[in-house]
Parts: sequence; structure tokens; C-alpha cells
Amino acid sequence: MMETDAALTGLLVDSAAAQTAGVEEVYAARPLATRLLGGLAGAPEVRSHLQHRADGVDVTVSIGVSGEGDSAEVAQRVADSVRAAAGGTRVEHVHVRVSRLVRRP
Amino acid sequence: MEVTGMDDDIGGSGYSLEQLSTYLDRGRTPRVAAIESNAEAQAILASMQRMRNLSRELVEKDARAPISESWYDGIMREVAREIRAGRDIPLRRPVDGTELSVTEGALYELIRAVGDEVPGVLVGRVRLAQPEAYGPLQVRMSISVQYGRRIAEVVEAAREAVASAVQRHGELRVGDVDVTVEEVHQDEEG
Repeated sequence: MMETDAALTGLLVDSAAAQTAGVEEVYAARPLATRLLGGLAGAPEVRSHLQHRADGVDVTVSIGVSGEGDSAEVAQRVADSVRAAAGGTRVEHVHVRVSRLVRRP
Repeated sequence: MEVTGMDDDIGGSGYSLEQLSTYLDRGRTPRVAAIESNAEAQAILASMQRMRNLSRELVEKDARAPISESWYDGIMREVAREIRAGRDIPLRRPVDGTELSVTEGALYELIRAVGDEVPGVLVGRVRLAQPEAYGPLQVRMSISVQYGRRIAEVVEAAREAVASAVQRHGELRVGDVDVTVEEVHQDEEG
């Protein structure tokens, strides 16, 4: 996969996750060193972590959701949105990590 | 603001607890993307803000024993330690290449917030364990109770609030919620 395609897929995944009902925020799921290297290369900031394989891609998304409802339902919707958003890229594995359960005062 | 060493680093953001406190003091400006995109740093900032609001409320009530600086510092050190505990806890068993999990740090943040919402309770320390994969979570927490409250009732309310809040998420189940009252704080009604 070309680098630009990879970055585009990452941005599509981020956008799909952020627009999913119940998601309050999408956080960086990639290790700090990877993010720093990406920044140095001038690549657009992708928060999700995509690991490209020969026949597809593994995706990890880190989200914050409201602590009031069932975060598993929101996470499942994110997983479905990510698979749909990846377009022609085959998504082998999706890991949706709920990194914050936010309570509003 | 200088980026900190890895030992003090909160959640891979590159910033320490003290630096995040300074960032909050400055009104979160200028915006630092490494902080704003980092879940752990956001959780720390939310906890700091909540503790500051609680301190301010007690001072405004002319509290005779408001939250001391050492108590505040101790709580924030606890929050930082909890949020660094980044193990993934499954929300349910993986299905068709889809894995859903919640971080320990997110559960710590939820438990602390829910506990603080119980009238008369300030949460001190929280510990979380899951002896068996997919098994019930064991919660231990220490709290400070407002002077004059019925301790048994407050403890039971905190226990029920925490269990109810956690069990709302996927297949998470809560076993024991052990609550220890370690402090008593006063306000003008105390």
C-alpha cells in the first residue's frame, strides 16, 4: 500500500470513529515514538493505529465515551463504522479501546 | 513548556503531572496537541479540575477543614498512578475479528467520579483487580466522609453507585466493593 493511501485510510478511520454516535473524543492509539516519527515526516496526524499486512490492515482506535451509557454498544458501533469507512481496504482486525469514561457534572 | 523525561511521563504524552497542572493553570492555552489528543492526560486534567472545583466549593462554604494541599497532592498522585495502569479489560469476548476493551485507567476515572458524586464522599485511593479473565472485578477504595454523615449509609451508597456504574458497560461484572473510611472532612454544617 502506498504511504498516501495508508494515511488516507487512517484519516477515514479517525473520521468514522469521531462521527459515531456516543463518541466524545478520538485519542492517539499509536505509540508516542511512532507519532513523533510521523510528525517529523510531515504526515497528517492520524490518531488511530493501523498496522498494514499483506492482505489487509489491523486497526486500533482509542475513544472516550460518556460514562452514563453502555460503552460496549458505542465501541461496537465504532468497529462497524471503521470497517465501512476503510473502503477497499480489507480490515482484518479491529480493536476499539475505550480509554475514557467521562462523567459530566 | 519542556517535554518531560519518560519516568514522569503521563500516558506517553511527554508531560508530567506538574506540567499538566501548569497547563491547566494557563487555561489550556496555547493548545498542546500532544496533551489534547492523549486520553490519560485528559483524564488527569479532568480529575484536577474536579478536585479544584471541590476545593473551591468547600472554601466558599467557609469550611473549617477544607481539602488540604497535601490531601489534594496525594489524590493527584493517586490519580496519576491509577491512570498509568493501562491494562485492557475486555468489555466482552472477541467476535469476528472485533475486540472491544476498556482500559483500567478509564474504569479508575469512572469509579472515582461516581464515588465523588455520592453526597458526603471524597474518594481517596482506588484499587482494581480481576483475578480471572472475564471474571468479576474486585474494587477496593478508601474515602473521606463528611462529618455528621451516617458512615454505614454513605459507604453502602458508594458501594452501590460504583457497582451500578461499572456493570453498565458490556459484560463487566463487579464482585466485592470494599470501602474503607480513612478520613473525615467538615464543612459549615459539620
